[in-house]
Amino acid sequence: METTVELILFFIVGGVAIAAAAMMLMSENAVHSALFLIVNFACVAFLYLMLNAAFLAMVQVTVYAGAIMVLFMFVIMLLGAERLASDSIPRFPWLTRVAMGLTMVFLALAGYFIIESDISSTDPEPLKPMVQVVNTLPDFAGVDVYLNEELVAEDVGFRQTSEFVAMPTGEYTVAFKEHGEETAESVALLNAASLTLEDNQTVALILLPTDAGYAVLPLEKDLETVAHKYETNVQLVHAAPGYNAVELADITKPDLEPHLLVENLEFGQVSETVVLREGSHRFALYEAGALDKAIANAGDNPVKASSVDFLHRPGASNLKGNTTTVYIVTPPIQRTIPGQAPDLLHFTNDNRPAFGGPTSVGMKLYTTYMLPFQVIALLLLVAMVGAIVLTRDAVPPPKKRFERRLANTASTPIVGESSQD
Amino acid sequence: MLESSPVAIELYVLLSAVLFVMGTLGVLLRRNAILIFMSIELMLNSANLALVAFARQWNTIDGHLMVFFVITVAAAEVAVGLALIVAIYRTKKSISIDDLHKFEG
Repeated sequence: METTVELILFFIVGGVAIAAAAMMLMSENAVHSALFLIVNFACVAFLYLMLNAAFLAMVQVTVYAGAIMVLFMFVIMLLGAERLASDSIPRFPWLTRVAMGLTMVFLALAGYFIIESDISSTDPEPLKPMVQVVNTLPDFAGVDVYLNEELVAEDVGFRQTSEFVAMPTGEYTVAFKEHGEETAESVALLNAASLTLEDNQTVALILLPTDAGYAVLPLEKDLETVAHKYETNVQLVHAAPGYNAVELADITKPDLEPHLLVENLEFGQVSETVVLREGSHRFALYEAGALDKAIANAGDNPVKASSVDFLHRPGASNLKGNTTTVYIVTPPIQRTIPGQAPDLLHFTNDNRPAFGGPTSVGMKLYTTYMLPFQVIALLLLVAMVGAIVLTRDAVPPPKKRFERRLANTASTPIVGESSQD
Repeated sequence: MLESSPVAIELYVLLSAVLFVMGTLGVLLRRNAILIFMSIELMLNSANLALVAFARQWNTIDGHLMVFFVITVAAAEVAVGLALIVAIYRTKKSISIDDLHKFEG
């Protein structure tokens, strides 16, 4: 249903664009031509919006239809050139037919190849999977992580995360070794053979210690932009082997009943994404069911967050809008002490900016395209100076004026001298 | 994540080809230098449309950056070009390209 609406819109707007271009070419008055060109630019800006290029649509309207066309109008009105040169007889009468023929041949060829080629699909190319490594292994100062012998993360410290790396899709075996040891054999992980990367996936590989050795827990993250920019995503991962199921609650207001976010999360499980409002939050980790028990025990009395026994209660974390924060339940650093509560580790990623929005364009512009950006800025400056040089009136050479002033200053003392005489 | 486009990318590229050809016709057939300039803008714009369409198809933002640069270059080109037209008009009292070849120096 929506597809047909958009298709109809495309044909209407495209038709208006072509009609405006034709009117621009055929109108005798240059002012009318400029106005039709503005209509054409506005139609193209609309098509940009349909193509998810919101930022460019904005630039198209302000810079093209606004600034550039105002410049055209200004020059046309300045020169009074509305009807100039439109009725003169063309120098080459055959040119019209030749130009028509050639352009039609070009259009036919282009159309044939566009239709025959393989670009008719409507599905955009999928994104390559992105991988990052989270190290919760207290035994090593830093680890290098390999996917099928390919280094994806180097020297990831304990409780640290690596940058995202794009990887081709496929099956991978995860292995790691301690950073800085040239000869050490890489340590294979227990359940590593099962890692499969698919298109559009964003995976955090959580390295965690188990009783038998080391294991990897793949966490698929949802880094899509949140519906509202004041929202933030929170996920909980249970990566502490040998510990019971846990639950996570929001205790930002200590006098109120804890607000349960995730309940009954077993080891190796990843919770659903919880959407919270941005700002300062305090969380508490409970053993599964602890909160229900506390409420049952309290009876009619209100349950205060401060009165429930918790496993771990980190300090307040300031969650920014449009980010995804993952809380990982990890074993305590000193694993030898029995009965110790698990630790809670968290890391935050910015969500992927919306395709074609100002954020995504700006991020690319200020990283990959910084040098072309500078060059183009310089080009604009040169063009500005060039326009000034080209249009300014011939100024009388400054040398003469200087001589005249010299003559004036020279003449006064002579007059003075003569009066003294 | 980008969803599939309701309109085939092919159609956008076809529209861009049509607009490009119209711009070419304008450059070849019109005698008014300002109109020739406007036709060049039309051609640049149609190329931009194809770039944006392909950027969506390949799911990369680089095409948008190219369009951004093309728009900037177009602005610089218009500033210099119109300054040239004004300078020529001042000496020749005409902006018809048929008149320009008659005057040397």
